[in-house]
Amino acid sequence: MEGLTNLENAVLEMLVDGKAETFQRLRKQYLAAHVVERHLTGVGFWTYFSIPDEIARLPGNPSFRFGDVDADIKGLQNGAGFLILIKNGYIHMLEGYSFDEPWPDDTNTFKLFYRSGLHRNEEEVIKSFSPA
Amino acid sequence: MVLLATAYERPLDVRLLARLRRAAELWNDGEKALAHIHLGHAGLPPCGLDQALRLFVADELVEAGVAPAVLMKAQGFDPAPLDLLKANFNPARPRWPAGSARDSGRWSGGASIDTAGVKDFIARLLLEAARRAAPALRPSEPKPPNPEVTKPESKPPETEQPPSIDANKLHHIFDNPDHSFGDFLSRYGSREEAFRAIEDATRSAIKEQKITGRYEIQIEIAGYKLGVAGNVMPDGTIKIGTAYPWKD
Repeated sequence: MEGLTNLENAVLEMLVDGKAETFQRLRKQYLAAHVVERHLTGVGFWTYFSIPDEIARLPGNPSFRFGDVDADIKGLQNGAGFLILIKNGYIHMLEGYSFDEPWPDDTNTFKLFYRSGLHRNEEEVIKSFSPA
Repeated sequence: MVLLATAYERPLDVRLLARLRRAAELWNDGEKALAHIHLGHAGLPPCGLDQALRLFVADELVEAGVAPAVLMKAQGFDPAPLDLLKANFNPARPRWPAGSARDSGRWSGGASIDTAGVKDFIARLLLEAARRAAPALRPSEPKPPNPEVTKPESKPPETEQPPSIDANKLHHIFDNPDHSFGDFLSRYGSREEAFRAIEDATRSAIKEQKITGRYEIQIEIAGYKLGVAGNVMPDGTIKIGTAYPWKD
């Protein structure tokens, strides 16, 4: 996990956390990922990753999105949301977005939470994967 | 046609009606964004206060029974285009070529132009403009008995224009190489119109599903499936954080 911001690191930690095989594999990818590009859009960001070839893809090379982690970030009155894009079985991109507010320059002060509350229901999250 | 001619103080091209008719059909089908696009392409001149009031007057006259041809003539306009409409003229439809026996020169196809629908649609749009302009024209209210305690009205006139869309939001949603909207964008002609369509569909879905707080939902617009993530604010305002194509 090279080149990630504190916020990206923390969000990805939570997104790939889980006992299910999918999350276990995504976690390995996350630990080996390095940032190849980051684009600030003014209301969020897109951060692209590269995963070394020796790290296993998800079985069947699926492409999908999910994002059940939200944030309170200093400078954003309405908070932020995130989506992770898995492309051909690999973590490809993390997208962060605000709700009609300019994305702050400094995102180091934040609090993350699962949309479902304290306890994450892995099965529900897997069901929420949207094909990409 | 007579309403438009009266509003703009000159006869407008009869072909404009075909475009407005299409816009009206789309509007009635709930395709408001597309209706706006067709309306934009119709090239209708800007409708200011004068035009809105003239339209209002024309509408009142027609409602009161003044024949459109009479109203056209009264303003020194050629009423001939009205005859074209009576003859089911539709510029979007070709005529039978000369030499096609008894059909020569007649309009091909069967359905007649829905002038009533067009008129209603135009009247709705322009009467709305007149309604907005009305406060500025209304005679002054009688002064209150104690004028010195009345604060001057400093609030600007209310408008119902939709708020402008943040360019960064459009960039975030539509310029992401992994958000390949493709045909969906070309259908709407502009990113603004596409965003409005997403907003409308999201609003409907949220209302129907009674969603509160953060959401991530699937919507379908004219056969296109999209994912939308956002937030329903405590005051009910719906914010869109991002949107992306949903591929099955």
